Amino acid sequence: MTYLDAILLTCFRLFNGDRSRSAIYHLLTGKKTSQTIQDAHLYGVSNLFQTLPALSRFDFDSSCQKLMDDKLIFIIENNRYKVTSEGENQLEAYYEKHFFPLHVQGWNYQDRAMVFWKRLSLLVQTLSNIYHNERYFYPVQRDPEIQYWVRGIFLTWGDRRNKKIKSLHSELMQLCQCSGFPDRPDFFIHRLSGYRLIGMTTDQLAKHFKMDAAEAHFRFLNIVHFSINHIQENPVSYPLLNSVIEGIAQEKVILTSSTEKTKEYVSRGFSLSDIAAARKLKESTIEDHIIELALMTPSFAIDRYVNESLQEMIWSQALNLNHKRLREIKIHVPEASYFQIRLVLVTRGRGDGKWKDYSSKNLALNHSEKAKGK
Amino acid sequence: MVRGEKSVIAINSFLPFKQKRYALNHLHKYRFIFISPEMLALDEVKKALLTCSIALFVVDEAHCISQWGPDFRPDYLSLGQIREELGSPVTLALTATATPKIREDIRTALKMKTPDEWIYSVDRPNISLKVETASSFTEKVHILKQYISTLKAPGIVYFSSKRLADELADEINSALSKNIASYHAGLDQEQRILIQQQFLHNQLEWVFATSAFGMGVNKENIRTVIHFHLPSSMESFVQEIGRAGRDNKKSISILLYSKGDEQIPINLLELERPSLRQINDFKKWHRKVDTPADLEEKIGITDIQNRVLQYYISHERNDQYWADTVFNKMTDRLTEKYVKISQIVAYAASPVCRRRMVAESFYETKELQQPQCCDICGLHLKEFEMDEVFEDKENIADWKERLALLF
Repeated sequence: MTYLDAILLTCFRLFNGDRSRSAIYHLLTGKKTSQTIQDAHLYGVSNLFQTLPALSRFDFDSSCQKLMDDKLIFIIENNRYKVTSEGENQLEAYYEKHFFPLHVQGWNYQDRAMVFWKRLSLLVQTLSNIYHNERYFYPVQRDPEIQYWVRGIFLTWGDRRNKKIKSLHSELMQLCQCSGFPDRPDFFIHRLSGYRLIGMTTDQLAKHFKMDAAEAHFRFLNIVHFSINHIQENPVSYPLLNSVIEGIAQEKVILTSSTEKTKEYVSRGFSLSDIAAARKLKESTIEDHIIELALMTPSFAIDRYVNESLQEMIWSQALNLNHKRLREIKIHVPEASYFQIRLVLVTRGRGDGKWKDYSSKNLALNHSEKAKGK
Repeated sequence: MVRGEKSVIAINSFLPFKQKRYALNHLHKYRFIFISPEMLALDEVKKALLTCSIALFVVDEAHCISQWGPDFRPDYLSLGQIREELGSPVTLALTATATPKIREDIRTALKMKTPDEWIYSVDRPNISLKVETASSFTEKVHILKQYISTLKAPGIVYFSSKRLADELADEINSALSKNIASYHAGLDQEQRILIQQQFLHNQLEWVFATSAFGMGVNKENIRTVIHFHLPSSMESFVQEIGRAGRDNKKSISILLYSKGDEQIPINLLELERPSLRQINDFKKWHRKVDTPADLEEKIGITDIQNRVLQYYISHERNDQYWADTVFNKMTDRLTEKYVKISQIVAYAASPVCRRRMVAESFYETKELQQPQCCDICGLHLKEFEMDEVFEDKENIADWKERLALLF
């Protein structure tokens, strides 16, 4: 089993045959549609959101096919799959032996992580070249927005640049040696480029450490996500790195224009059925809009659609069943509508990852890996 | 990009909205404007350009204008009109693929009446030419390994399949402990940039690549270019081997050929032309979907097919015969491309001087005899072999050392 296979198998297991395999592809590549985002939260896989943005459909499909051929998943109906018991066993066994990306929080961090990395890598490359008196070099990041940012921060530094070189070096040293740093720093540091030294690619790192590319990729993500969190919790210790993160907003998801309109009605106090009547749309459509709104706006209050005691009942059943199947929750809380159940699950489930069920088993492992790395 | 001039702006789809707005409002402040034909087609961009006086209008990769060029891009055809709207400034068209036919297309499309033409020979005397025939795929791989272990690096090996480039890079890397990376459009941008840069900085000895590699790579000391598969035309072949020996030192091109290799580019060609039904579907659906990608998925066409069909829908009379007309035009184009493949096959099978074959396919006729010319005229490989065998590269440093190297 490859690392990618294990990730896919995890998704199949958590979606448990409720969603098509395309939903998994959209989750991993980070398609920002309300359906994908709902799935991510409903099934507790939001941490994996957008963690493989460059995954090709071809590689995804071949990996799925291999899982089929090896009888680790089986088809239940068109394009829906469940994990076989052999699959379950192999997955458990796999994570007992392999690295687990405990700190990855795709939904919360991935947009920011990508900008952070691009800024940092271009900043390091630039400082390194300037330190060696080289004024001309090919930037490793082509994104104009990233280049503007680096140019901007350089202007504000003026002749304090040389001091900044020392600070960045020591902050990176401090970061990689902080207690709790989750992995060997090589997966992160070796990707940086500088004066006459070009960073390694994911493939090269994977080959060097004798693992597959997806694992090297997740180790890198794990470090970056950990670092963002760690730096933001200790801004005083990392003034420079913190300024690299500052001002990066987790990219806002743009609401569909129809949902925008519904949002206006909601803010003017219209009830669900009034909105449907006013907009000549089905109530179920408006319900979808409201779910989308609740997902995209963390402050969105759902009390007007589900009273608090009903929310508690739904949530405790969800925890009880340890399994977020709508149908089963509905059986136990018959007075709630499906809309209300979905609404509670997406809002309460925000940021909570079932994915992490694997983590307790892997905590010990992660620590021993780290010890090896030092 | 690396040297000097700062008063330059590149207007492309990557430019963030605010900066683009700013740039368009201050276009006259820049000395050089880099822009794609696709961008030029936008009204706001054209309007902004009309506010400044353009002294020199340069069309790079001008062969893209020609339908018979290897990378036909429909928007290039509108450049002539834009040029007129800008008041017909002095115009410079540049290409490394200038057959008489393509030259004629460039003149017509850019509406140039009697331009000066500076045609340089395609011949590169410091690049020796060799074709090696293999009886099977396995033998080809064997020959490639042989060459990688003996010939001078840096070098490029071109493949027509991403997967094969990956697999053989892996296999030969571990067999010979060389620094080899594969490069193709399947990698994300950051990885592609890193590989290019590693190659430029001599951190890599070989790049196993598809034709996606090379544009914009200006490396002087490439010693060897090997083609594992047939390129799709003499033009791309000449472009690709032309990346060798820019320092004017002796370099070599080796084309590996097995009988029937032409089937790969022929199959790719067949895939390139949409079926009559897809063309009809295009007509029916092209206004009813949100994005180009949706259309491509809906009727099962590639992005290139989509681009070409988009061009025809706005430039061919949209009557009941539209689909047939377009289909016939595309069939003509296909035929033309078959001819191109047969030219490269003829090169591989040539009983006469290969240098002459190259020149003749660009309608050049001058005599080109020289020492170390090609395998037909006589060639000693010794000159292209490594002088000394390098020791296995040292292990990469640990992270602290690496960080210290950067700062």
